Amino acid sequence: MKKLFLILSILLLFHTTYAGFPVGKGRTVLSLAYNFYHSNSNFDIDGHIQKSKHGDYFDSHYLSLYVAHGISRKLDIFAALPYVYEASRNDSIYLSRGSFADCLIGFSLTKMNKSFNKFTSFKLAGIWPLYHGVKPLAISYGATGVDFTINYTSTPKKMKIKGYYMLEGSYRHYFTPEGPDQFLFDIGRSFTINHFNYIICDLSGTISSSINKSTIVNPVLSKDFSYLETKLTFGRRMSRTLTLYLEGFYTPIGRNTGRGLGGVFVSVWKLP
Amino acid sequence: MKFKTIIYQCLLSGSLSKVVRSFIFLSILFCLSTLSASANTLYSTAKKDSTKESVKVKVIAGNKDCIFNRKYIRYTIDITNTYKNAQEGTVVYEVRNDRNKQLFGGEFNVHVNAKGILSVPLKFTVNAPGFYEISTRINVTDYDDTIATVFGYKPKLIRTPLHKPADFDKFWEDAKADLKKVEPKYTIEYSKTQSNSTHRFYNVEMQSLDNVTIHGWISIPRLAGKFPVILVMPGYKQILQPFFPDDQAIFCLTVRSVSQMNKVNKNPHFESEYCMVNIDDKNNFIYRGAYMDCLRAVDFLFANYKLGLDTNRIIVFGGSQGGSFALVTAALDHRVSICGADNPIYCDMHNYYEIANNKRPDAFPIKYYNQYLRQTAIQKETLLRTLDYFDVQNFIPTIKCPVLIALGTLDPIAPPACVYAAYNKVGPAARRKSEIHILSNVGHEITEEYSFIKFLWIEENTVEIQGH
Repeated sequence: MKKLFLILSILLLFHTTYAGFPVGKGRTVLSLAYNFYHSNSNFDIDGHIQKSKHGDYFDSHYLSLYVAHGISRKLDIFAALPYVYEASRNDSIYLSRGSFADCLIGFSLTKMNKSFNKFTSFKLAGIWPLYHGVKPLAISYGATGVDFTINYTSTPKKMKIKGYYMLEGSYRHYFTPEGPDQFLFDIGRSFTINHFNYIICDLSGTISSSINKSTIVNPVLSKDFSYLETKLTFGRRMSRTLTLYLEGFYTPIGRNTGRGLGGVFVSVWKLP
Repeated sequence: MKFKTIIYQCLLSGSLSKVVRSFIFLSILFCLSTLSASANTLYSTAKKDSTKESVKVKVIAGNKDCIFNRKYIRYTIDITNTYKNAQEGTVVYEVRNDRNKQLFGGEFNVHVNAKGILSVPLKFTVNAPGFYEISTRINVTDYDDTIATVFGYKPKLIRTPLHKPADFDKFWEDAKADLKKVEPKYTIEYSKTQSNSTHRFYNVEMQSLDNVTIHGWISIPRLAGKFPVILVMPGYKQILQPFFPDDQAIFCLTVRSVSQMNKVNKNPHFESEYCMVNIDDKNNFIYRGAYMDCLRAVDFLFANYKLGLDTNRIIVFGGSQGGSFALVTAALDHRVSICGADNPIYCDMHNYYEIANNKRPDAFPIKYYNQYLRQTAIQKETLLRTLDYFDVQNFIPTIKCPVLIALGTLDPIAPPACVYAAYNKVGPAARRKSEIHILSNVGHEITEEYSFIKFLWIEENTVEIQGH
């Protein structure tokens, strides 16, 4: 089972729930997310669906802690610490592994317009693997990397249903001879039901490119793949500081990657 | 559409170089669109001009906010001629101080070519820190006009004397003691009609100085937790309509009215203009009670914190008279954590009197003061001696919390020099976290941009407050 897009999704998770809004000077935002993903089929190199044989599957439980702190009105620092437990059955061989995954540390600079309803943020982050080796299951590439993201979030004044639009594009590079180089994007629209309930619709995707085009030798570590993902998130503000999000996602289109669906539960604390 | 096509094609072909190129292209496109958006304004103005014959004059300050802190004040007068014939004539400029005294000026001949633009640079100096008016009169073949604008010169150095009566502190301590003697008798009535699915709404009443009943409303988000409270002070004769922010509770106060003063027999001359009720007697002047009404509102918040109010985070703010109330409340009650005042009136009253009398004697409140002086035998000095007890700048040095003040450079009711002079009297500890925003070419109002800044500032300062 190929599952790399899951890791990328996790790293994007916070972006979905907090969009490109700055955290705010002196404020800390803490987010704890649980992600479950199940896949029992693949997209092949031509984007065709390949059903798995003999009941093969790949399951993943992902727990991620995300912290962002507002240094100033425009500058935030952030870090993500994910832990993953994977279980896979491939050709009747059952494998599992639990480990910390790729840690992400970076900063974000936001430019706002005069009406404070259009936010353009530039994010730069480093990626550090917190695991060694690829056995019994690979967590990710095991390499350091860098991520550069541009996010544009707008809350137009004249909207039939209030909320925001979000456009995000990221370029990510892993420092290995084979890369990969990845382009990630996310197009989102949030709908405010009332002051404290939101629905967020997202279309996101990843295109990963590498000179290593292998698909057979070690499918888990595929570096050349792409996919499109649809997400639907419901958010509810529970208290002055806590907001909960429940998200479902599905992969309708892909190439050389896993095909599956999953759900995410995110809690976001705005402190103080 | 193009973006989607690119993404879809790349997704299936896996061509990263194409994707990266698209990403860079889109990023550049975005940056260019942002830049062109700001440049558009200028372009569209020029385009509009070219379709209609006119002469347009712009007086552009060398500094965007019209505040000059260096030796020279620089302006540019841009004359745009869209007529098919040249424009000949003169440009006259005058610089006046805030007491309307002409300091200097100049005149020069201009020739603007047909469909041409002429830029005339001005460079001059003024001696004293303050706010000055520069008026430009243009008289050319097909057009004449006068444009007046105000600039500030080293406003941080504006120093005006405090006219603080010797018994000022005692006067207000006595007022506070009198207030304490009045049992508040808070009544809180849940309003079904004003409450909604996200906020609880209450109408409240309480007793204040002289047993006057004052009113207010409070809206509180229906969420778990305690909420910082914004205590909104009313402007002159203003009753504020309900609003429902997500992150704060709002308490809007209505201070005593003239009719309430009548009811308790505290308006012996049946004065109808609020700011003049008992102005001849500092102990009965309506603002003595109104300032105490504001303090009673703070008492209310502490007494009713169980409604879900975070009394460690009380923000007072208001505009115009409400700004003055906010500053006075922050000075007299140090339980207030943050103070915001937009265009506060009644600041630096001696200076105000001179400025207003010379520039806009028809404006509020100077016109009422002048009427009063004309109708009675009372001298201006006597009136000012009473007003000294209520002059906001006399309260300001005792404020301990961060203060945010906004002023409009064209404001005749809260002249910029008076507001800045008052702000300059904020004590050093509070000053470190305080800010003043100068809204250039704005009268007795604030801009939309500033209102966003204000809420951001309040948010940021609320975050920094440590619990008591």
